[in-house]
Amino acid sequence: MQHRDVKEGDIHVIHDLKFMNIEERDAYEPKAEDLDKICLVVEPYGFFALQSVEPKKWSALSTVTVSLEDFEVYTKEQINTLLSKKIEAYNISSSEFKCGYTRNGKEVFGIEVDCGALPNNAIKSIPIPSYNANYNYWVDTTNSYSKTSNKNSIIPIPYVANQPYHVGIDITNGNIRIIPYSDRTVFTETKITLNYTKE
Amino acid sequence: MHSYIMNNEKDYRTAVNGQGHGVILIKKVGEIERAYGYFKSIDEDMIALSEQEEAEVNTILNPTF
Repeated sequence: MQHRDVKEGDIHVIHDLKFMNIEERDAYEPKAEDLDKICLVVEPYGFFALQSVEPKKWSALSTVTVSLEDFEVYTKEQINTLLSKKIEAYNISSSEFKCGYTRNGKEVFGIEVDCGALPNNAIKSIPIPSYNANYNYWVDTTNSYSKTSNKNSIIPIPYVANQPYHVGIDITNGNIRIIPYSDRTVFTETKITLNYTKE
Repeated sequence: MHSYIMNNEKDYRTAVNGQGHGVILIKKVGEIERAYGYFKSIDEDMIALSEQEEAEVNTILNPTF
């Protein structure tokens, strides 16, 4: 097939016309044989096809129009700040964090409570920080543990073992209660994670 | 019943009968851990609990489920 405007041996370029700007393009009076030809406008840079000669109508080759006003533009520093805030929101800590899932349609939050050393065959009671009686609390057993000061021994809480070494836990009247059955004070660092949904 | 602020995680005072320690409850609020119980001797840093305070301790020890 032979291009209608390209002679044999000539080099074919995508545009047939070239204008420096839109005004120059619009000042051009196309002929009937220019129909469907493509022009290049240098500033702002873009290609247009002659859709109609009478009336004269140029159509941009791209059908997608993008406006910066359609976007919120952030600097790299702002994006890093937003990302770090998101990471912090999910970080297990002593302040309220988000768990990233829901329960019965309600967002689940968490808080890590520092309970110190395990007791010596006595109940240890720690008030839940910022306790709200209308919240629905439970113990996040997979994120609750106790460890010895040399970190050689780490046990989950609750710890199910032979009864002398068993360590129970519950939430009662806004308090975490830790209940061992023997001297467990060798475990000096205890972190209990609670989950809850709000009203 | 008396209470005292524990000096460390091993600060368990002797029970009133001289056998083992007398601590029955530890309440931790922030960094302060206060022990409650019945002790052989009343140390200078111990305070006696009122009836109401004893009732609160017993509520924690034996909650109604």
